[in-house]
Amino acid sequence: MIDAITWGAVLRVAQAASQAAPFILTGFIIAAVFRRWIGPANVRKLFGDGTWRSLPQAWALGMLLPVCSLGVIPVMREMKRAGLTGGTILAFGLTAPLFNPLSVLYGLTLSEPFTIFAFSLCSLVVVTVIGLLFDWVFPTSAQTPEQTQASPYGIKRLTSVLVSMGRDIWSYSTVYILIGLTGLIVLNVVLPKSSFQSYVNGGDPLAPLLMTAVAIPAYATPMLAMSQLGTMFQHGNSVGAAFALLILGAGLNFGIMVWMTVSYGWKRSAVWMTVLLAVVLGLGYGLEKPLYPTDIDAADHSHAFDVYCCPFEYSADNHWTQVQQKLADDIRPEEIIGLLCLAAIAIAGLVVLLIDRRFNLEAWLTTPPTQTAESKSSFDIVLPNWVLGGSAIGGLVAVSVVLCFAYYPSPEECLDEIFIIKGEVLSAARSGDTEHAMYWIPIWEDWNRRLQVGVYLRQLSLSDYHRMKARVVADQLELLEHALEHEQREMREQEEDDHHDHHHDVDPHEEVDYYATRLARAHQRMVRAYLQLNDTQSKPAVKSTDAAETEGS
Amino acid sequence: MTGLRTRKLLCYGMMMLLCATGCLSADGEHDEHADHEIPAHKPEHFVEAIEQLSLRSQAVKSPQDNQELSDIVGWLPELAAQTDLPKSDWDRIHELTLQWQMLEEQPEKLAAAIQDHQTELDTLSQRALELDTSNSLGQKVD
Repeated sequence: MIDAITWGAVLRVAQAASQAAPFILTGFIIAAVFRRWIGPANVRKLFGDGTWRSLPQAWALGMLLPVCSLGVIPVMREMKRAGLTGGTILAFGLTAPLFNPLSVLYGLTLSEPFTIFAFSLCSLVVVTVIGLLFDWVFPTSAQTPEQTQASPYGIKRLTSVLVSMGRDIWSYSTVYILIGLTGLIVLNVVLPKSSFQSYVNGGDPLAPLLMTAVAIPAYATPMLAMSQLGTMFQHGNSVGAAFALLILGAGLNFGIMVWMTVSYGWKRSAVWMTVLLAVVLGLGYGLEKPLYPTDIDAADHSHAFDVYCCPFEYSADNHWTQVQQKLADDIRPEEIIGLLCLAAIAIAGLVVLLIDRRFNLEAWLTTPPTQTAESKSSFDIVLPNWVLGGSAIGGLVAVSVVLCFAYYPSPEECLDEIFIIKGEVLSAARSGDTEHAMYWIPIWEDWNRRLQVGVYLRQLSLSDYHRMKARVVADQLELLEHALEHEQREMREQEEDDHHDHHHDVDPHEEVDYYATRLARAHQRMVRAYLQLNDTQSKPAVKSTDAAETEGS
Repeated sequence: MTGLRTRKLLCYGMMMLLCATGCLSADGEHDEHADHEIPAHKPEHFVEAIEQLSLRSQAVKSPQDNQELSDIVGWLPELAAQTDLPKSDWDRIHELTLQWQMLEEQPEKLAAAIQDHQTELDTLSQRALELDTSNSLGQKVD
């Protein structure tokens, strides 16, 4: 049991660290740009400091910037240095991890658009209420802004951002980020494998409370949170629990809580947390009935939260191999790039710290270069810092929008990927290789969702017909997954006790075959539907040219 | 206040929390996997759903009958999507479903509305069966 828990914690933390890497990198970049290019005075202006707009403005900026609840920590620390009030900082810190262009797009195709709109507005209510209260009760929460000298134009100005990032990665920002990851260790210990499947069903009055307890230590990227939100609505889970998962699971972690306590004291932090929980739970319970989906069959369990539980059975062994395999299988290219960039910044930061011991690097960075009459050309235009800073922040937002098109490819590209994955799933399922099939099923589910978003992104709409075709495939995938789990359990029981006859109402492998066939048919229908997207008139169904694949691949 | 004392308190708090969660962690050997419960009255396929609508709309005698009839109405778009009916036909079924769902609280009107469209439903059912057969898929999966 100890082995399973220990290696489970290693796996969960490693997975979260790799998923968070691109967002943490973005957070360090934003913090450095705030510090070096935008400057404290302009940061306060950007967030509407001292005006009625500060909280909604912080919310709006949070909606645009692509950071997670770990990546937002360096940004919040920088905002505090700039002299912003606690309410504004916490409003931004809570909102930024919830939404960004990619995750909003994802959510719009999973749930009813009105639900996403309602949740966005409710997040605005949450941050505004607690922000106003915090600033009213603790009016002296803003610290005196740190005076920083701007770097002159040229190579020093660019270098100053890298230097700031290097120093920041070796500061308490990283300590708070690591503390944020400890929440996963706590969940890994408390929640055995697959133990949270049935605790957030719709109509269960305890569901929002239980989800709150799990969501606070949990870490979820904006995309994961939105994906789980969609799954919860598709399974008829508690709306209040979904809201708690979004706000607290994606928006909060132990690192932010510790930073708050250190920065503002435990009393202010306790007040803020209490009000936050009260508002989130109050809104969650209030939204339960109005937003509950009426057009779905409520399931009595969901696998969406297995990622927060220990990944290993306590009786299993060979954990280290499984950890390696899982990490190698799950890590994505952008996560590898994020990790490499963070490693490079960490090395650069070490170099900066070494240089700082012998040489006043800050003085060099802020000393203007000597300019001669010959070196100034009429074509040389010195861009103000705020232009560079604004371009950098705006560029980040623009890149995240452009990345949507890469992350959600065209329908044709998605169907090509799904074709390969389908072969893996169906051949593995029919040949009895349950592990292999169950490995590929979540990947198929992911591409199934990306297919819908890809259409929505390019055509700005997704018909109910196409949405239902994709949903049928998703349902059949889940049924196949259950059949495979059933087969796995039966095989395990047979291995443990060979002396007893095992009588089944349904042969587990026949069940797998049945659902594999249904899945193949559902997939074919979906492919036809999506390939006919550009047709202006509906045509009779096309004859299948590869009917053999429905009978066995 | 925000200095060393606070940091120490936080460290002790985190240690206590980790110890407590270790003690509180449940025995992990139980497998709480839950199976999907499919309602007994859910039709297996679209053709059966149309047959059930025809039969049940003529025999609504209790609130449970009405609930089950409403459930089948709700399942129609999903079951229709599991056939090769083209988009136009599916949209029509979806439109009818939305209209009938507004009559859920009025069992007699719901039953009457279904019966009024029985011919259309039978045509759609027949078309679904023909399309599935012609695509070598077969509507009935055993």
